[in-house]
Amino acid sequence: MENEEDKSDRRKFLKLGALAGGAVLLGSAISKAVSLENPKETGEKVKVLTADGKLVEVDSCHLKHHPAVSQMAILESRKGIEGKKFIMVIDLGRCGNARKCIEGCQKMHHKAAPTEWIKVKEMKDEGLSSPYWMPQPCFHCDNPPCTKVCPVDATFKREDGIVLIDNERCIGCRFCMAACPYNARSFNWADPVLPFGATEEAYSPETSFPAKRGTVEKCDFCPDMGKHGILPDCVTACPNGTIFYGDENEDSVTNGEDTFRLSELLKNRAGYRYLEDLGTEPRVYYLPPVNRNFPFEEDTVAHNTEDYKAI
Amino acid sequence: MNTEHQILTPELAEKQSLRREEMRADVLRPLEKIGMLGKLWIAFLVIILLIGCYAYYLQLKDGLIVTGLRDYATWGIYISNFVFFVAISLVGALISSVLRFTNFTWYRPITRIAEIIAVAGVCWAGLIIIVDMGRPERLLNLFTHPRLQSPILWDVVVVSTYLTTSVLLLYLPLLPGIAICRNTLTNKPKWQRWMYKFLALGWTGTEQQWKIMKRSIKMLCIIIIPLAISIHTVTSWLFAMTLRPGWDSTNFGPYFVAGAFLAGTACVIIGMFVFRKVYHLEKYITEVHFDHMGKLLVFLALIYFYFNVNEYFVPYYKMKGAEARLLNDLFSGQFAGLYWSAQLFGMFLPAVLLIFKKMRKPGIITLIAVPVVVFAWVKRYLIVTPILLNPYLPIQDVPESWMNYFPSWVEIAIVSASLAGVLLIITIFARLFPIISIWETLENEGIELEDLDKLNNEKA
Amino acid sequence: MINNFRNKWLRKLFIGIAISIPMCLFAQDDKQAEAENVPATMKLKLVVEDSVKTCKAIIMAGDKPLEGIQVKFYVKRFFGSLPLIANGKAVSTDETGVASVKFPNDLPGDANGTVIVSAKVEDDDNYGTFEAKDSVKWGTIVSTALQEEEWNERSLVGSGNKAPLYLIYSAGVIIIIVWGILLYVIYSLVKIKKAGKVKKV
Repeated sequence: MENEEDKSDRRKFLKLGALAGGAVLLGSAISKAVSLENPKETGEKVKVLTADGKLVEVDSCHLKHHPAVSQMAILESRKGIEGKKFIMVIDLGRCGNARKCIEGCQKMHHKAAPTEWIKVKEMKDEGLSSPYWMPQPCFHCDNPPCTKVCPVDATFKREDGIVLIDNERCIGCRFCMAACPYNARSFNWADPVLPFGATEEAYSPETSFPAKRGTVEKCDFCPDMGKHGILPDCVTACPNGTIFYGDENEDSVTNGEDTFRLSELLKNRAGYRYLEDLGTEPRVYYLPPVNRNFPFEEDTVAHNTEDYKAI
Repeated sequence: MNTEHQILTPELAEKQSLRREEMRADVLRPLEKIGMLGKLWIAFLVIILLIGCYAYYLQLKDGLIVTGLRDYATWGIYISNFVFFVAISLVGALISSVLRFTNFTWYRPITRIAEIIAVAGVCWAGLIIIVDMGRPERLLNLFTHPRLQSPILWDVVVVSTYLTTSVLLLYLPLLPGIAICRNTLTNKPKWQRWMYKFLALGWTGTEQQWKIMKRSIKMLCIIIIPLAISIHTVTSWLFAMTLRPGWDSTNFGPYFVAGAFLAGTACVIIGMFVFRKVYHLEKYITEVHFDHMGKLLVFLALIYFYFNVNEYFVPYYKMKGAEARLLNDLFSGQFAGLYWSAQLFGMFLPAVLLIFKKMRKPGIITLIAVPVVVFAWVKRYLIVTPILLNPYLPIQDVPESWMNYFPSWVEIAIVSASLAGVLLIITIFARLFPIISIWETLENEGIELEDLDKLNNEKA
Repeated sequence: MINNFRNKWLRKLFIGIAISIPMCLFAQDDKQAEAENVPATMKLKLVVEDSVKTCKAIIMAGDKPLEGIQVKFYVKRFFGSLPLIANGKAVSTDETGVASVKFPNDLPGDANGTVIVSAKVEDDDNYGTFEAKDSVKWGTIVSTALQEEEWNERSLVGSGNKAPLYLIYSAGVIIIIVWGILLYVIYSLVKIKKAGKVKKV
């Protein structure tokens, strides 16, 4: 229970920081969100800046991943956000397997277990080297093996570096899942469990919401929030600041608290990309698990044990 | 073709006509009445097909959740089965075309068996791949939003082209046969008589008709060889174009093609045995044919063995990272039983046993061919599933059902139905049309029906 | 374990407060008067000195420069603020009340090269928190033309309408040849039908 409170406290704090940037757009988005429907109040208050610079408190339910935030023509969402080149850096020295990125992501994208768009894996590179935890989202490769094989243009690479899926186009052949060497993609094997009223909401590949049965989905790098300067939930939910997100064209990444020059961070900390040999050119870099914040602790609890609830 | 062209004297023509009548009677006899056993067989296949339809209805209703597939083993026996069907369909090209360009003539009575296996296989390959789709109702997206860069699109093009070519290659040499049915089977129901009449295309055996038919067949035989190689190479590319350890292989195209010829030839041997027994065609499908097919099977098994060495021994020698895990899984892990059985019964044993002439007798060679087909299917399962369950990143912290793959009853029912569907197409075809080509078989005996027809038409 | 970070943070805060209270008490005598009466003002000057881009924060209380104030410099980024000194270290003002930091030559700005620089004093014992910001065209202009060009290129990873030409042409040629032959054979069927009729008549 205490954890729960801590989390929401922190969430408030982080959201406040992150929201400042996209205040104007969000203000209008909230008004839209409110006018569209009346979501259930969660009681969790979040401070946001409105268009005229006032700090107001709203219920967190208004801040969900709402298509109204980014209602954009599908065609436009295939091109991407102009001038941006989104990038992620994950500092393996900071990851303590708190699994908050997974929870944050699942909450934001209305995903229920066992589907995890970001996973945390126990890795051990060489025989004698020490194990470490590795958060693994979709790598949004610059030479994506997944978009290469799609027969119907359902998954595509955008100019801003993001690889998205249009689940209204997807035929569910799962070739992209077979082609992804990182298993970053998930499939809606059954009817997805969606919040009430979700099916009436307009779909956009940028929100990946609402999900549809028989289609592929994956980590979308949250472009609907990114375009307003809001960080993805996996970044803000991490209590250890493991995940950095930013714009390569600005040479900067942030985890919500610390902001670094991307080029310097990668240079000074010997950043690398997972399985560079494959030539997929991921847009997610890792900083080696050195100078760790936590000693490696074996995870004795299996977290993701429940299969689909359907049937 | 290579027989000496004799001058057709009236006496010789008389003799040849008698032979033709005899063969016509032999070949049409099975079509006259379906026995009890035949009816039961069809009923059995239809029931399996219906169960499969019900299973597919459930899958359409609830989604692919009803299968054993999950995020890691994202492809399963539907895809294995697809590859298997494509594989057996290659034999049509092998028997009716590759052998045609050699100087052999012995294969001619079995071309039709090979062709109908090819047509049935490729038909169901197309259907089973739709079953694997999460959104089959969006199939048309392939044509409205095609992405030429995707091997799936290439597969769609090649499969449809190969189907068309195979149907034509089945149909064209069948024309004289249909004409015979039209002329002889006059006691059949009206729809059947109408069908014969329609399909015979007014075949009367004129010189012109023979000429056009033979030329068309020749053209088809030329294009079907590259097509057959393409269809299976492209199918192998569904795997080889990915970066997964085990699929990321430049050997996959020829490896698949070689395996396909082997599996298809074994299918034809079984088909020959069944039709010979059930339709009493001992006079036409002789022990010589089984002997030749046995030799062909040895040859193909050895070629397949060669590609297997390349496919498994080469990476085994290196034991490269992620691939090592997969190879251990296959050689001594959870798939070892299936893997070694497939290699032993599907390749080694047939290659060794069929070297001996005694083993190439109809009964024994069929006993050897059955496991070749069964394990050809298993081999395709081993090409799909173990690779998906051995990805680069470890499979961790997922529900138990995600770590393994075992097909659900729905999948098994649908795959069984597709197998039954292949057999049903072959059965129904063989119930309606002569399963042996009369003119091609007689040509093998030095009797040119073209010349006979010419003579008869002149007389008339 | 999850709360390690927070707990650490809290502990630091606690210790900070615990130390600063007595320190404030000692410092009260000489500084408190000024602090209460004259609030600190900060001016941010972005100047080029000897071709070195320099951000200068000048902190004054009235007309008296304040020495030893910790100033942090940031550049506004799309996500968060990038400290101009690595690890977000602060610069102390000198006796003229000036804290300065060099602006890097290779930091990207927006489409026009504009960057928004801000100087911040955070939680100063006497003057609290205040900041000043200004924009200047010091950033490098990152050309997104190449990015766009790359995206528009015909490639295997691109969308269907951007398929490589060699693929389109080779597929086209093969399909036309093969289907040409097939259609010819299908046409032959019609010819066969005709050839049969002629004889009958």
